Amino acid sequence: MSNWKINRRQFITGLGVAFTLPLLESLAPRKARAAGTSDPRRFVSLYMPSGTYNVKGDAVWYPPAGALTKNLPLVLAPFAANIADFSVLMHPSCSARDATGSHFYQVTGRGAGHVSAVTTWLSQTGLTDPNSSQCSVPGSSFDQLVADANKGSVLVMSGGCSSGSVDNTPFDYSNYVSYKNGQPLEPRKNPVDLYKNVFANLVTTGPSMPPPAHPSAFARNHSILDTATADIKDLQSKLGKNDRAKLDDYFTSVRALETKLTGGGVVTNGCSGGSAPDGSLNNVDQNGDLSASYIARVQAFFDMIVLAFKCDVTRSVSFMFDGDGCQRHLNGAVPSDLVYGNVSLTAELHTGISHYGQNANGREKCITRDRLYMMLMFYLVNKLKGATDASGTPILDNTVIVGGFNVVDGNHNDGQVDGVPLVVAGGRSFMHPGNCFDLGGADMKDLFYTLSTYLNLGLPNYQGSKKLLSL
Amino acid sequence: MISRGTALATSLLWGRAMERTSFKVLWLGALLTAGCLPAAMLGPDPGGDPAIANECGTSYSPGHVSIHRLTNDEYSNTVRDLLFTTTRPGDALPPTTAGFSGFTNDSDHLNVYEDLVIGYYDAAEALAKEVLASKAQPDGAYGRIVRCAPSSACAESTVADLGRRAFRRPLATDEKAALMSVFAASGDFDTGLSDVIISLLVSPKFLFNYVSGPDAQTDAAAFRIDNYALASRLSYFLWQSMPDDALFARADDGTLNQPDTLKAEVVRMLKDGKSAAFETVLRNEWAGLASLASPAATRPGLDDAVRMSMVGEVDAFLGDIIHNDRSFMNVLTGNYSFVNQTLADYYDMPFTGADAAQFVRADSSPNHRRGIVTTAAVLTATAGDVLYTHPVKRGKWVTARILCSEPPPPPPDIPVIDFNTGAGGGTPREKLSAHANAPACIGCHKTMDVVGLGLENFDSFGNWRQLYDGSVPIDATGTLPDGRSFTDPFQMYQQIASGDEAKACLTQQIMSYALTRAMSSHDDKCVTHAIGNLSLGPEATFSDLIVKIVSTNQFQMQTGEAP
Repeated sequence: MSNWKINRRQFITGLGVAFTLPLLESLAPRKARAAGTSDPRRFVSLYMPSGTYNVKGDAVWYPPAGALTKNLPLVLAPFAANIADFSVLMHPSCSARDATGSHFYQVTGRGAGHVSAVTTWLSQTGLTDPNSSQCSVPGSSFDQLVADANKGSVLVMSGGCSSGSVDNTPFDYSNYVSYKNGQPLEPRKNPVDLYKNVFANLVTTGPSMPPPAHPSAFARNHSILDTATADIKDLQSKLGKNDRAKLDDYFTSVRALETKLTGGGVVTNGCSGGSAPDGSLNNVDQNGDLSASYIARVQAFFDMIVLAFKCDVTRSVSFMFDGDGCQRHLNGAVPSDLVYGNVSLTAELHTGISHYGQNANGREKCITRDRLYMMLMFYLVNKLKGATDASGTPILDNTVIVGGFNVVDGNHNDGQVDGVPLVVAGGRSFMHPGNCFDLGGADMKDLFYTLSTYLNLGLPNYQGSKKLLSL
Repeated sequence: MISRGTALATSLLWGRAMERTSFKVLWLGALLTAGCLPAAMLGPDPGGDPAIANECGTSYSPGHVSIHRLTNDEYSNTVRDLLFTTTRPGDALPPTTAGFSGFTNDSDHLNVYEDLVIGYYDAAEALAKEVLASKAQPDGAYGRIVRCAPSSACAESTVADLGRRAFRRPLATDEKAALMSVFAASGDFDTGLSDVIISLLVSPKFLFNYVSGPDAQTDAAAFRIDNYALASRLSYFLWQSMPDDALFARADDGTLNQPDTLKAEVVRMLKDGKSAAFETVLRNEWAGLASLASPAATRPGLDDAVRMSMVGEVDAFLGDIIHNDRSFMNVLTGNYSFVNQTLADYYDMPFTGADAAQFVRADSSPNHRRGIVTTAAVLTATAGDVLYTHPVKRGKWVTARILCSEPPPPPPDIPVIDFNTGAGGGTPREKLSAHANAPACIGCHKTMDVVGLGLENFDSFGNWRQLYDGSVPIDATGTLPDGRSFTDPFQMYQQIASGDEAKACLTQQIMSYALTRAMSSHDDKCVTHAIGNLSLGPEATFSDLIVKIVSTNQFQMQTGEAP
């Protein structure tokens, strides 16, 4: 095999960069919040992959500037019932993305690349070393800053393929959206496992709950895991550096397992364990073509966002609808009432849809696929609207949801695009949803600085920006 | 005279860069000439293969295999053989994906994380419960694990035996003591057994294959792995599972690494039904048929019965190579096939079997086909689309899997070519002609395009065709970069198969899987070239190839790594 391919463990250990998952214990719910205290503010990022169609003279994402009316542009037209819940941001710029080049992988130039789109979306900064295959960024991404300010962790999730890339080159884009101190945060891709590991033990207030019907063996005999940890240490004394690092990961995971097995539920305000997603949604759609369960799987993730906010398990979420460059077919996952132009979405998500200029009915395919993403976004919006904080305010009003693309144009024809699609929903407690704002080329750094003030992060600036936008 | 300490320090200074270059071989050779390096640093080829010695010397580097976490299939197979379960708990774990080597068992790619460990624990509890539940069953798992009347002595012998099989080697004194502590804390025999099973199944010494030894933490030191580690490497290579009693016995009596014993074990293991796991890996991961073979993965325009029959053909072909010890080169040039009634009809050839559902050997291939690479299954899986073929995608599969020359990704801003002949714009050959005149393109495309266009007579479901859209003649002639011309795919594959590259590549692919790492160093490439082209004669069988692989330094030795 050619030497240009990255070796994942070398990538991880070569320069001290490692993937991490937010530790389970740091996603533990908070103590009960007394009524009358101020409601927490949350952040959700919804990344849409590979770019889309929004060309000059036919900007299917952009309504007229000003208050939204029910006469929405083609992508948003099916969602007129939610015009009070969201705003469209027209003509943002992203200097970090446009300046980011990488010798590692087909990324150079203005917004053309997938690596630059993914890595700058929440970091708004260039790569630490453009000549390195590590795709690391300095510092933490915005979602992590929100989590830091709230002394918690980001819930990073992805509906994306694990082996997606362009032309089958192995590269999991969903690993490179969120960063903590320069380290990429690996997303959770299995909603059933996520529920089981984070939410299943949550209990409601009220009469004490009966003990679980089948206590774990560990609960009875803690020495069961002692041998595992001793064996880890024993092996580490005998093996080399890289192998020891892998065993470190195992040790951390066993510790987290112990915490899970010994920690009981924590009483929270109005939080219940919900119900586990259907087992068929686990270990599915991570490689190969998307199945008919894609919508249910994403909705399962979004249900857990709602639960996470209700239980105050986290205040920051990052989700990726699919991996950039995922060359897989979207087989009939779109409801028929959202299909535009009578097209069939059996083409590959990347070159078959996003590359709209290369395919018959490319424009219509983009619109249809984008409606699918928006349908799911509004599923989350509506769920958050139906859940309330302690004050009785809908959780949506205290939550900012930012959804959109970061590849400038799906067909890589940057000169003909009107602007990158960007939608911001919720936040009625501190923003003005229901409008179309023309940012006039304002940088995404300005947007995130503005959001940081709404979210009370206390940042002196964001990636050098102190510019406040009026949203 | 250079002291060993200086030699080692110098090797550390050169660091990783040297490990993968030929300099290290020359440098070590120079030191050997100076009479300075201790013999322990050098690795004579265990198999003593003269062809390898001639090409690569006897002191070629074995390379380093990282600690290997069991893949999900390896996990399922191992608990099947350890605890006699019929469940497959690995199927519920987060999926394993391919690594740098191209296979899912790439050790560097198999990381560990919380969700996975929680999955292991849950599976361990369920498996322990299943063992206890079988207590009353004749020939149940409980009776096969506990072979004495419950007592303290019985607990000790049961734990020792179970631990030995779980860790795939005899337990050390402290390991046995730790497990007995777990047993003792449980209160009664059966609960103790259950807790020990859980302890074993979450131990890294069960979940990982690893190599330790006095030089394991000496950077760049090459040392022999012990017979237990060799037994595990062999069993996970050919069975995706733990050693059986016979293999354990050869490790116990220290004879496994002796050439005659090793060869006898290889032959025995290939004939064993457990080698079906290896066959599945070759089908799903080498031939790329995992998606096509999935029962749920229908393809628009392709009948499911035909699709599954296509896959069945490849299964039967690979099974024949493995169980009947044919040459692996038959995947390129085998002039025979396996068909059931459905596939025979699809290929428009006679079916001679008594049972329409069973695959029988046909002593000639369907027209225009040879080996596995031109089966309908592989052609469908590599076509690129269900409506029309992408010659570059098929060409890329061949260059990657048959020639081990996978090109890097394309430069940015390259327009995507629409190969849909119904959309106008010329034939695929005409659309690709720009590559021939573009210096930035030709380096990668000179082989991909020629090979892919050479397969254009096969449509996106592997049917033979002479025309595009019923009217435009297909030109599938071509000239390979080495100057040899062909007029049809059969001729193209004969020419590819006769070249050194293909033999070395097929050997390299199998060896990557065997070693659970990419074969990327100079020494690796030298050995695979030697095995593929010089050790294997025209009548060499599959077991000959496997014996050569497991007799190399790479398979029987390890390079240490500093802590």
